[in-house]
Amino acid sequence: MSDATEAVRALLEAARIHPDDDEVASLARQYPGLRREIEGLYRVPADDDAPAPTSPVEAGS
Amino acid sequence: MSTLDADAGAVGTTEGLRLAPLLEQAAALRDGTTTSVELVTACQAAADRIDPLIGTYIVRFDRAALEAATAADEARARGDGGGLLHGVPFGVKDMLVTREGPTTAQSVVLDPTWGDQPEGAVVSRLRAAGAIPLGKTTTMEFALGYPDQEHHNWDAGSEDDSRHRFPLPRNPWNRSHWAGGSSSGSGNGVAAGLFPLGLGTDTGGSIRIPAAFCGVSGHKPTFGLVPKSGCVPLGFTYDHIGPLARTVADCAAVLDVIAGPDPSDPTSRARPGGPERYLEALQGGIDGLRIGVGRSVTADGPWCDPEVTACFDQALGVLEGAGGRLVEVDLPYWDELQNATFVGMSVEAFAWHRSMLQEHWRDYGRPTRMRLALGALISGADYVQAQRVRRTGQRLVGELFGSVDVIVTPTLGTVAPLLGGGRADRTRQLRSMFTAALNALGFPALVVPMGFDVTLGLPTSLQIVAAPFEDSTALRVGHVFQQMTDWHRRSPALAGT
Repeated sequence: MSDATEAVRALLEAARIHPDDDEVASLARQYPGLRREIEGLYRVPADDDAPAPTSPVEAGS
Repeated sequence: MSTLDADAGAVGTTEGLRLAPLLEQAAALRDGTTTSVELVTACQAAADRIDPLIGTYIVRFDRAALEAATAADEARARGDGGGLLHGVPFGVKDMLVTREGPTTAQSVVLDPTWGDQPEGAVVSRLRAAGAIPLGKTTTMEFALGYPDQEHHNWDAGSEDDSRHRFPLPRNPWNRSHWAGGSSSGSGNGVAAGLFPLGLGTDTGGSIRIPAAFCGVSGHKPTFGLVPKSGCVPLGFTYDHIGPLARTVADCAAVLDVIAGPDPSDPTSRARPGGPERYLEALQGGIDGLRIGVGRSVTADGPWCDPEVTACFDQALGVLEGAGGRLVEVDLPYWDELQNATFVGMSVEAFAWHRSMLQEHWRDYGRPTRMRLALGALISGADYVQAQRVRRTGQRLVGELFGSVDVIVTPTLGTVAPLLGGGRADRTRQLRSMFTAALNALGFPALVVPMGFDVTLGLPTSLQIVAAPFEDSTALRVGHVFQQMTDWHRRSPALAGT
């Protein structure tokens, strides 16, 4: 079992959802791409102010 | 390309009016050219003919709509029908509660009692303004995913009693192509003249994408400007409700009715500086207006087809000809903002669906459950980082509006895709959506038709973005564009059948 498959299966089990093996395999194939997109978010020099709250838009922001 | 001009056909008749913009239908009602009963009847007759071909409706409210139309005509006869939308019909995406019928979110999973709650502010306000809901329109399951053969009735017009099967929303310009999603039926219904206004919801582009693919106008308002109560949530902090209609003026008239805070949605708020009168604000032209052109990551990027780029360049010429000053702008962290929407929306959607996924995994369509499951693979820190990126993007893109009044991009880099495409097609489609970053930002975005891919005969679309709560500026630019072009007046040949 690949690292991605193991990671995906563990996260799904933690969430108590139980897809078929082929669905887990499909999600595992998507997982590295998802992680790359997420890692890209950490490369943005984000500000120290609070993250966008529930009502995120301010006039003139 | 087979088209029918909206002015063509039975001019002066109610059937001819069916393809006219909402404001023209409203004017005809006011001056007595037609009645609401005639208009609703014409829309229902057209739906009898056309809906089986393009999958607009999940359910129609024929009897209730005719009763409401009769009441509207009687009120007008008493001198009590002065509202701009009095007696005008509209379609409602089946993510929104209506009192006439159930809300399914196009899924067998949603508890039928969910729709027993009171109508949300938007439907209530339209109803109070005299507009008449004709029925609930198709979407993707829970406004996610893509058309699949498990979940949709692939053979138009055929009988299929599978409980998983919903109408397949086809593109009225070419039925082999998708109508777009997720406000699919609201988009193809307007294009086909089944109603002049469709309500949609937009979490990553779901108003703008079907509007673009079907060749109509669509507006995602500033987050918070329009209350989103009575809506099945997808991404709580990314969801918006807005209109799909034939013209920008129609969208402005609707926004006049649906904008403004409501206690039913704590994220809704008053527009800073006071309420705007959006229809009136269309006047004045765009002479000297600074139009930021965000093309490096959109029209000039790898996900934009040459035909779309060519239409975009022509649209820029139109805006420049109207007096707009074109200014190149770089859209900061565009890809990251697009991803911030997908990451944040996935987590918020998974939070709402988690219990139902545990109990009803196999009752969801496969594309939907697989898409929702991605939310389980994202950590709390990842979600917060997406929110930090949103805030940074709001500041940086907001700063652009110090030097421009609006920013324009193509809405999408492609025209409507063929139904039944594979994973590669879907990946390209996802990457060519230049819409999702605006959901992370919450800024207003209007889309208008800007031409056609002449080979495929399918519409292309221009996106006009403004600063928060400056929806009127985007609408004014779109209105001027439509005064100088006729793309929005074209209808697919199927609409006249």
